[in-house]
Amino acid sequence: MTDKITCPQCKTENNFSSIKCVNCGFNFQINSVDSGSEPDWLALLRDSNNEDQSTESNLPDTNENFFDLNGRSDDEVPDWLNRIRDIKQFDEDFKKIESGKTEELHPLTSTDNSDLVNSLRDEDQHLDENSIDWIASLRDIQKPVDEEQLLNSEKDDESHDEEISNLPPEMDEIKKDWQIEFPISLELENDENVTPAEEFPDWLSNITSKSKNDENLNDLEIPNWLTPNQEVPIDRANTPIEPFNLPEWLSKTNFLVDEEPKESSELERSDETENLPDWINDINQNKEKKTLDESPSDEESEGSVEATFDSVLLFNKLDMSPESKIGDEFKLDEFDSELNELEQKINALERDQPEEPAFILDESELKSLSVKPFIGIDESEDWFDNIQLPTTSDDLIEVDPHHHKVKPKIEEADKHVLPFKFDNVPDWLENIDFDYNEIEPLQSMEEEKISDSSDVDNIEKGKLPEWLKAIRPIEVVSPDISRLKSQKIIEKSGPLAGLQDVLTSESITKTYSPPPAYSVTIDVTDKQKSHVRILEEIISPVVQFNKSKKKSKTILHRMEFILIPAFLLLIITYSLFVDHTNLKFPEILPAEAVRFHNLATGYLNRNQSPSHVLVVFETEASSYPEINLISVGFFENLFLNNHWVTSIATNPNGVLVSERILRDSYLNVPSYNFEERNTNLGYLPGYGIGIQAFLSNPKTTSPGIDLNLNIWEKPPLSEINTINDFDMIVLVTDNSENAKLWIEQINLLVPDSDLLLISSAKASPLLQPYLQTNQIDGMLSGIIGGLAFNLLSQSEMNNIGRYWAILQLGAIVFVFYILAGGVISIFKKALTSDNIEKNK
Amino acid sequence: MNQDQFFWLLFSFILTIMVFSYIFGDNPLFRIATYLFIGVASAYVFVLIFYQVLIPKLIMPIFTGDTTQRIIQIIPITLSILLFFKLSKRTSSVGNISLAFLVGSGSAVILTSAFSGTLLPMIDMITEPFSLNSLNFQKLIGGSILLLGAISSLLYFQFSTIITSDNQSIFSRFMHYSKTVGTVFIGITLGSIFAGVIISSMLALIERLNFIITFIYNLMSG
Amino acid sequence: MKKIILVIVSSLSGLLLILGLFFPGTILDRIRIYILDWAIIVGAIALAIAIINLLSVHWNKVFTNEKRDYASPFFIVGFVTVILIGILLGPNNQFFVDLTSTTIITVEASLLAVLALTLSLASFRFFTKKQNLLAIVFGISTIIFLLLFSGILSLGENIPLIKALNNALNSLPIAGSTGILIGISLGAILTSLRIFFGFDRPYDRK
Repeated sequence: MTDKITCPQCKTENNFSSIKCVNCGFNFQINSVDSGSEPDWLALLRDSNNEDQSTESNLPDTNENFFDLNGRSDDEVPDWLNRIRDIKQFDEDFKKIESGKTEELHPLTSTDNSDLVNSLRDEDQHLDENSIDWIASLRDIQKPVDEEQLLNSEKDDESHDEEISNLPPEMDEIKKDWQIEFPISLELENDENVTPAEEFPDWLSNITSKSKNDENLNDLEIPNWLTPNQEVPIDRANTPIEPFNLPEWLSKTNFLVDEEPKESSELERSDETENLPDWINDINQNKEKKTLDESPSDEESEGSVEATFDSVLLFNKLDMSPESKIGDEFKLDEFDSELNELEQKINALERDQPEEPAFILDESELKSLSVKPFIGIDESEDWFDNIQLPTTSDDLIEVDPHHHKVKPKIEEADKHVLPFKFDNVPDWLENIDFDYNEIEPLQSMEEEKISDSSDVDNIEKGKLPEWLKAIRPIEVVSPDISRLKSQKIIEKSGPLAGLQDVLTSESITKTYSPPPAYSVTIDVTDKQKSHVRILEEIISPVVQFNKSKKKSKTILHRMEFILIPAFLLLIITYSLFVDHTNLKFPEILPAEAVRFHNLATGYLNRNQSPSHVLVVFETEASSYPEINLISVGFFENLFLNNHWVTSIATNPNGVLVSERILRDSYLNVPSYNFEERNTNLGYLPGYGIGIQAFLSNPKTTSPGIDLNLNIWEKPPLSEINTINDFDMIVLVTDNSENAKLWIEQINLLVPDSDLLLISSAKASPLLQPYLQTNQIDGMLSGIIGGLAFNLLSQSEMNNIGRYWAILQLGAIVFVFYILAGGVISIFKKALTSDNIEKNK
Repeated sequence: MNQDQFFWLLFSFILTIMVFSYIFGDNPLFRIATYLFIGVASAYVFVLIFYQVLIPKLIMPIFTGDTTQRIIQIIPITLSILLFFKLSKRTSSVGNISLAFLVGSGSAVILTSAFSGTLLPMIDMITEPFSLNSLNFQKLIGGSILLLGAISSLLYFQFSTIITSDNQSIFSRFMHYSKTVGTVFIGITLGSIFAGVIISSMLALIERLNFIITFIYNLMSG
Repeated sequence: MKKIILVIVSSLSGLLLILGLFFPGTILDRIRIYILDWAIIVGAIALAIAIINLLSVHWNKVFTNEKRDYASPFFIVGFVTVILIGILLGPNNQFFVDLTSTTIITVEASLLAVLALTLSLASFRFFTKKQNLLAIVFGISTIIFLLLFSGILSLGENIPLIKALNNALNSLPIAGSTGILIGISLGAILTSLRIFFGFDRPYDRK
């Protein structure tokens, strides 16, 4: 068991040592003492929604506690007993109100609206003569003996335990008890255990009559006597606030505000029909009689007031939103009249039972308040009459046998103790969040609409059944704003000043605002726009796909395709047949060619002995004609000087090219001992890796082509151990990339060696920088280089001269093609632009 | 001209004609010639590899080498065998070790050669005209043009878009202008390369046409 | 785990090569030689495997029903013939050399000759495609260097300033080439470093 006390009124957990409830101010000590006067049936009504709860959480653990029977744990206390306790507690409170102990009942620390209402209930119990009468009448129904016994049993643990053990905690049993209490309806008069029911007060009969037409409540299994005026559904927080004649004490306490007309309540009353059992009707009739006898004004008020079942429940729902003042003003007149009547009654009661009001507000302030303190309260005349105060234990309310199946949010509901313990409380009623205000504004608006029309009084409007309204999602009905707003409001004025999360005195409909409208436009800054433009420029050319249809070749296009190559072929073919013996050779020779010649002839021939020349063929077979033209003179010169030539290739085709070129050069110098002085190392795989390996260790890297022959042991390679032993390295290339590899590796590993380069015209532009950096000592680039070397070495010029002449013609043709194409394109563009302008 | 030479000349002539038939569009003759060329070239490479790598470097050391050499040869043999797994898709991942070894070795070679063989000498060439030891007006002008061309050519390869709006920063304007200057130098270099390709191709055309004409002439003349 | 091993193998082989360059004459240099030899062998084997794969592709084209190519038999015929002759007779055999050199040199040279005709057509249509600054500079440069490489501009020694013009024109592409070469070397260095440190794994791509 927890060391906490659960308040019987609001079910709030309090400390064990607390005397009063923090929430509602319920005095535990008083209640524990004066627990005999509370009728059981009222307690049963209160606990009707607590049947499924464990008694542990609800029952406080204290000997002083009203509910602690003989100090037993709350687990063992049945629910019905708790109800009995509650009823007794309520009775005590009523007595206190009668005796004027309002402070005890209305502590200022109360922060919950339910506490307020509870306190008001207590006051009402004290001050209302009618209520006293009918309460007393209800009490008379009960056996005083039984009540005493019950009271005694609370003190006597053993006897109570027996009763507890004997009493089944189930609903059927309670119902049975209830049936016992009201034998008239159940025709159990002859039953021994059944005690005759007392006459019910008139107000109860009124309730019964008014609720007959309520059809919707049939589904809820709410007893009809509990639903006298179910005009306003419970989910409607904004119950029709109707003016009612409150006693003066109540008006002085200024809990009342302008009320909405009872018209809606009357209409709602008509929607709710429930067949009350006869005994309840009798009660109601009795009550009516009594009220008629006692106070004619009360009857009027009762008649005018529409106390509905929902409104009664809403009475407990203390957070029911008040109606807005807007729209209510025109109803004020009607409310005022009713209010005056009620006030008269209240004043009459006060004369008999003077009482200190808890809160005092002027009437003007009352009227100024837009929110009623008893929001949701059926402020009909008979709202307090409709309260069935638990007088005796006989007033046990029938509990819905199916009530235990209800799934309540009991914890929330328990905070707001219902003054009326209803049997067969529907699920939707139990699960109502009394702090929930969301639905209030719309409900108030709905009710305003309903009340606006003057014909509302007489005409029943089609309405949704209560249960359907109750199960409507909250979001449909009201916005969240008002709810959020109301939750964090701290009252700054009024009787509830300083309290938080209390019923606001402002109308929630005032604070209601339409949902925020979000604009769909995007705020884009200029910088962002410029970025977007840039991005479009980047992306758009790629994204924009132009559907390209296969264009049919025009005649001009076909002509181009045939004529241009044909013309070139024609020129070249013609040139081949032309005699080029009287050619004018170039007079300006490239400097690198001159250097090449000097190194190739002068340097190599400086010694008497032949030199070892390593010739690297980095060419493809396609460049054979050009390379052959360029290098033939150099190799002829080498062969003429009997130099040792070692050739190697880093691509397989280079081996073939080297073999072909050297053989062709050898044909021009037959005196050269080609087989002896020429060594072909073959293919060097691996490109850069192979080059570095060869330059680092040539013997092991390139063993030669012939497997049977170790060429490194034979001359000329027998004298070669490292690359530096070669006098000259000549690189013959048509590929700038591979030549670059050789140049870099030679510069890295053998920087002191002389490197000459014979390159084709297409490789020379990218190899020129190496000439500037002196990584290449000499270079023959293109046919001009070969021509220059031949001119300088005075070699045969026929072949190369012929090719050079034809090449010049071909170059001119190409230049003509480029220029002609440019001119034609300009003219085409001009024509198309003119056509476009003409079309425009 | 002996028969062997004539045979090969004839074979060459036929191949030349077959390839030149491409002037009239793609045709079976051209495709046959090219496919034949690819087959012969690939076979020639294989033969070279077989005779110059496989046997002398891989197989011969096992038979003729000493114990140390044999043990050392296990590594390239293993790597070579692993490489054969690349022929199948399922087992291709096994040969990744050999490729990793090859790629790692090649990257190291390129790293050292590019740095010492190209980058440093090129930078030296650009800065040498501005050397205080040998200041020369003509060299200075040439060096300035060289420096400008080298830097602008590098700056030409920008992979960011250039804002063309009026609100350009100084840096972006500088980059824009440098790209324009780089365009000129790049254009000049590429033009020279293109001209070289034209020259080379034209020489090949001249040589081939010369061959055809000569062969026909010799054939006709007997 | 396997990726780490690959990265280790790649980086270790590169590291040993570089260390061998920095410490010549030591054991590291010897290791470098070995690694280079092994790399040559592995490279050659890789080339051989590529050739075998090429053969298998054409073999499948000939002997399978899917996508039959009428030219693939010529490939196989040429390949097999040269393989047999080369392996049986040796690469030094004259017939082998004549056969291969005739075929390879003839076809490749002819292909380059056909390229000349294609380039003529491209030159005529050059300015119809683009007319921006790069295209204009490219066209003008092509014209100048065609004249230069063909030797037309080198004919007039007596013409004043022609030599200077020749020298100037010859040195024009050097600036651009220098920039291109520096860029290529920088890219090669960066790529090598990425492979060296394992950021890029071209050997592990699926």
